[in-house]
Amino acid sequence: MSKRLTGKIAKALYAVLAMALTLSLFAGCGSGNSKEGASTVTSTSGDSSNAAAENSSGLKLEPYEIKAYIPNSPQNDLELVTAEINKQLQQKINATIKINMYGFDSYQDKVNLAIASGEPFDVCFSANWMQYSQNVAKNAFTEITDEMLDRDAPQTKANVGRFLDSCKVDGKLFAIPTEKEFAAYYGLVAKKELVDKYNLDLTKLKTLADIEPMLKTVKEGEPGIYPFYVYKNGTPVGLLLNTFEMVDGSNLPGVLRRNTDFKVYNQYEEPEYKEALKIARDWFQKGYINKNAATITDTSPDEKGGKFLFELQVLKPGKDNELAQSYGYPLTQTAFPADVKPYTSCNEVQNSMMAISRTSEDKDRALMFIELLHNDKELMNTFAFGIENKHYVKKSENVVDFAPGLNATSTGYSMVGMQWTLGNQLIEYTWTNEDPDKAQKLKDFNKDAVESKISGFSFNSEPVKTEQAAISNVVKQYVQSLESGSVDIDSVYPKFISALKAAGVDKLIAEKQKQIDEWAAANGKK
Amino acid sequence: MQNTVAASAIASKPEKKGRGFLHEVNKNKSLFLLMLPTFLFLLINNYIPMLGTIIAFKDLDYAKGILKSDWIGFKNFEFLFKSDAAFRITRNTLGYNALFIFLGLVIGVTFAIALNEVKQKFLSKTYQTIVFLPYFLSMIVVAYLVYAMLKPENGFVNKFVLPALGVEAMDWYSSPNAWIIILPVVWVWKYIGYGVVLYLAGLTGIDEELYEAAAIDGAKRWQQIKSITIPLLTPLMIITTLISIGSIFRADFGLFYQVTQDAGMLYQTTDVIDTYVYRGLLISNDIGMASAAGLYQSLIGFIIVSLANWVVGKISPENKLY
Repeated sequence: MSKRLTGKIAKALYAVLAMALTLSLFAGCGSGNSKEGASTVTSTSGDSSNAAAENSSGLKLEPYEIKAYIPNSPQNDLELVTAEINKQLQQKINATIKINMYGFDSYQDKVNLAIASGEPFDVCFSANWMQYSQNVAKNAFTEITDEMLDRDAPQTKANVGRFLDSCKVDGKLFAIPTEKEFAAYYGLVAKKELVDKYNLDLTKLKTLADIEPMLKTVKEGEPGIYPFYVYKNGTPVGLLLNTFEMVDGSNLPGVLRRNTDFKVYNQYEEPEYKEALKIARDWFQKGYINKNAATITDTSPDEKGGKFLFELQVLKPGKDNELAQSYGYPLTQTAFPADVKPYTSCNEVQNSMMAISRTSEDKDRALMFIELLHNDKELMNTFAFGIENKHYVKKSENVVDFAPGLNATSTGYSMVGMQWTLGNQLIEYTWTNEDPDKAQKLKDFNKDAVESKISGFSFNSEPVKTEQAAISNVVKQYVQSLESGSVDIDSVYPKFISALKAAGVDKLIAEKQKQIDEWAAANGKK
Repeated sequence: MQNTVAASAIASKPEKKGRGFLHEVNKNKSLFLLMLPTFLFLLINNYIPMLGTIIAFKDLDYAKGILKSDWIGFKNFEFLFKSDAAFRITRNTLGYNALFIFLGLVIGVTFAIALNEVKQKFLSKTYQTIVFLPYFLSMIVVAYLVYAMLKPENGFVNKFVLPALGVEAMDWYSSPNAWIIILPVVWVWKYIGYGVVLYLAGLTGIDEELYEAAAIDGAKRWQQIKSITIPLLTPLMIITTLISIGSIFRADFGLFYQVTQDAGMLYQTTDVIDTYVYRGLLISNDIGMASAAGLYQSLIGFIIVSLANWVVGKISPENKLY
């Protein structure tokens, strides 16, 4: 009797469970909608009407928990630091924070999962190299309107100024860029010891041919050293990137020539590309390039072992010191060609941003939080370095170091090396080995930068996503092998070009051209 | 695909002639109760999510949700057939998987029978463990082991094996043809242990008396294997083969992506549907297109397994799976 009864109960329970799961699957998307509806209602009726008063006093705000996704390897003392951050946030905007920290190996998956499942969260790090525009196209983020900016983040608006436009998609802003260098150039990082030993003059480098004698000298003098160290997307051919501007932030075909007109080129068919391939092949055959260049995935043993003379890097002031900190020996950097100007386009601005989720239950508070990160020195530095005298100590007003006895691996909390994903680099303390004038140099760098002609344009890949999927496979198949010089150019290069054609490269280029022309016409650019 | 198989097996049971399904349930209450947890598990984990396949036909918009996004027909499927890669990835996926099924069957059964002949228990267990161990290694680890063997500078093969044979060192990661051999070798090394254990279990189920009787009649060891072991093992071989045929359109991503170091020059012989989809959608992150690829693989797998089962049914109806 009892057996039958428990069986029935169990069955009923299972049925209920199954039904609940079925329903939740459908409800998942539905409830996301209704919640969003509800929150927009409150934000328009309640928050916005007297938001200014609330914002300044901070007392009328209801307590709110901000859920944030931040890329950084998991930290032991995250809880302690969160408590410290909460103290500051409660006082300033009556909020607390739940920080979800994931290393880059899983960060993107976690955020995409949160977005796809409609999980309510407030802010997350996003970037053009991390599917920012796809997420915008799929409505994952909230539009940050001018009213919202004026209401919740006036200081940030004033600071970031002209660069906010570069972040816009179809004239709408969906994320606030991290304040840091907004420009870049490609160049070489060199091992200082070898540069000094062989008296290499890096200031006169203009063409790839100028580099060759140096490679030769080091090859002969230093067995075991790779004169030009090649890794994924870091090839000699990559130095051409100072000539081109990528239209969609990826290495798919379709670029503009910098400082010229609005014509879209397939960079892989341009004469200088083919010329550079030949040089790379020549270097590879002469042994200037590491033999595993086509497949290399883990570069740290060679980099930390100091086994190279040159490698390609995206440069900004102080990049050599930053890298030296992680490689463990002095480095020096040079732009290539040496006199190239830093360049700013949406690629540089969009490579680190913070977006507000569509599912956020208090979008104004999320933006207030971003405003604080950008302008509150105490909060920004707590995020970056943890708690003073526990995780870091002040060496002087603005210079910090690990607390005594701690280093990068033993400390309980640190975002060193990852702070660029967050807030404002210009109000951040500098590390002891860094240039204390870093902030000023970054500001000057931004001021000097040549601005892209298509600043503010963003490519919508929806109409060509089929071609894009096919083309990215072709690019992955050929580009690294060709650019590293690992394969014969005469036989492989024509195959690459014809594979691109078969995958629909002409349609992709035409689509880019069409969108840029329309954009230029609509914005009165010439 | 295993689930379809299992589910069909479940579904076919109550169809016996009688007084209907409810009567059947009533008669075998305890058996159905035993089945219930697995049934629910499959229902929740495998059947309900199948509703998600509608994503493959939608232009997904997070703000509208899955159900309200726009229908776009077969547009999400286009990229699979768009370029000249379509033929290559289909050929590679089918070819390697067919080869793996064949190797798994032949080598697995051979090893199992050989191990079964080792009468000393300690040795038999030792061999079994050695064969089974690689199965527990992650593909990432296997990829690095292979890399240590084949890397261009200082790789074991290039540094020791080839010079010893008087052959010049070669760049394995830009020689696509070599991988037609390397991949199956790695696959067998890693996965064969599982099949061996499966077939060994089948062998222990064979009645010893059959062998004794055969020995009395003067049958040699080889004759015993041919006339007793293999025929009695056949149903198990058919089931495992049918199940693997069900996933013949799904490639082992780790093997084809990690072990080859995703080297571009090898795609000709190493690119399969799974790696192609991964690479193609890494940039666009398009859930609709990913679902389309998954649905396509499942559908073809379903068709092929039904076909295979039908063929088995024609040849020997008692070994049919469902």
